[in-house]
Amino acid sequence: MTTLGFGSLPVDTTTTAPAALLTPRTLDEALRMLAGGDAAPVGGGVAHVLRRHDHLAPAAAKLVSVAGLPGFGDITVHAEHVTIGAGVRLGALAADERLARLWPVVTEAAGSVATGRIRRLVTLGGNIAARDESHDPPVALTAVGAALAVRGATGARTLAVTEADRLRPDELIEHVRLPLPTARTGSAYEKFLVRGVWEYACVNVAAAVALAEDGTVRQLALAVGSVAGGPVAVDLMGLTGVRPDRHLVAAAADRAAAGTTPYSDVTGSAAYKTRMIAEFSRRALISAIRRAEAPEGEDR
Amino acid sequence: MEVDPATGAVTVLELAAVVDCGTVLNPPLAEGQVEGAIAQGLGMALTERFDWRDGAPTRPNFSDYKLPTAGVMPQLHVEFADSYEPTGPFGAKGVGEIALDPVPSIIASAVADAVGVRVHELPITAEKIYWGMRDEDSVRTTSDTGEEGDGR
Repeated sequence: MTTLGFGSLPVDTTTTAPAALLTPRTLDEALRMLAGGDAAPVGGGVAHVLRRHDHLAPAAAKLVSVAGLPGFGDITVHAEHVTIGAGVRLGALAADERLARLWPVVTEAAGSVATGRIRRLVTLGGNIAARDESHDPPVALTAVGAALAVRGATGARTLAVTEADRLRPDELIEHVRLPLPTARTGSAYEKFLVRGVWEYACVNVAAAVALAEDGTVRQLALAVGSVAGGPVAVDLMGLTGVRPDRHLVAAAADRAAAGTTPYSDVTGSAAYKTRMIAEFSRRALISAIRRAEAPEGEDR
Repeated sequence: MEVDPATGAVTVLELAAVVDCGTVLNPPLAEGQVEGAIAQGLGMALTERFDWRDGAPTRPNFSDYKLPTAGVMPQLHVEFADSYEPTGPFGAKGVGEIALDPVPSIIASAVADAVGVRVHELPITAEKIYWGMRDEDSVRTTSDTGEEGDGR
């Protein structure tokens, strides 16, 4: 919560001090720079610019530019999975036609972030590493079961998207790994802008549904953002194996509302947001189910 | 105008304004003044919300205090009354703010006409309409601790 202080803003020269921008050529070089302890990564630079806007000191004296590292800007469809480089801009992610066919929830979420000018700058890695519970891409990636491939000076490891808070300052997200959807999978993203103008979402919900050969639900996932500890992967245990009808949608939406803790802010009270989480969970699930049931080759 | 019954969210589709500003001295300029005033009226009606605590605004920035943008502007129809103001220059009178004033009240009336909820305090938020449609004020005030009485 921001509170306006009295008097003029304090003049602190550290907040306007220039930071050195380092441009490593390789990932190993970048990791060595970050291991020094006085450096922070910069992707699109949005978080760093916001710090300046808020009169906060730079995150570190040295900023290590990572968006242009080899492979960081690539989206690659492998035989078993998809990798999205941490330096991929959200605008490019939203426009990727392969991903739009495989996991529309991800391209929809990326395309719903802020404005076009900001999406041209923001990198996927930076958006995730910012650990803002209202950010859109982490919600979608949580629903599809994506993992973060993380590299540090001491080695590589894998984190779930919901474990981004465990990233250490000397580590970088290298890429995000998404499983390939099975046949008859649908996914969808819903972002509720309660005032109809651009702002942080009142609620944002991602849904993914995989159907079995007989049309029953084989896999079901819902993730909710803009809530305490978000994105939250909703526990839908026991809701698979049935037909994807309105009873299932209602039961899953109830779980989403019961399993999340929204907070009151300018976009609505916590009580209202709980109702909206249920409503937009229903909408996201219905879209995802329709896409899963659509014949192969149609809009999914 | 449309109100989403599941969320209370308002979409203004079309708005007509007829303005009596005396003799219209410069028609395109006067029309622009009215269009701008309607935009500001829509902001006052729907998007601009000022929250106070301990005498200070809780969110003193434009990322939370949302001004209306082109995206929320409806299709507009602007007409002027055939009128003459004897005390004004060339029969004209002010046009700057006059078209702003009725916008919040017509939005409130349109909401009441659409879903039967009369909101008496600005802005007319989706949440106020939502609870109004459900008549669940008791639910709201008991479960929304800390935010009571701020007119949500």
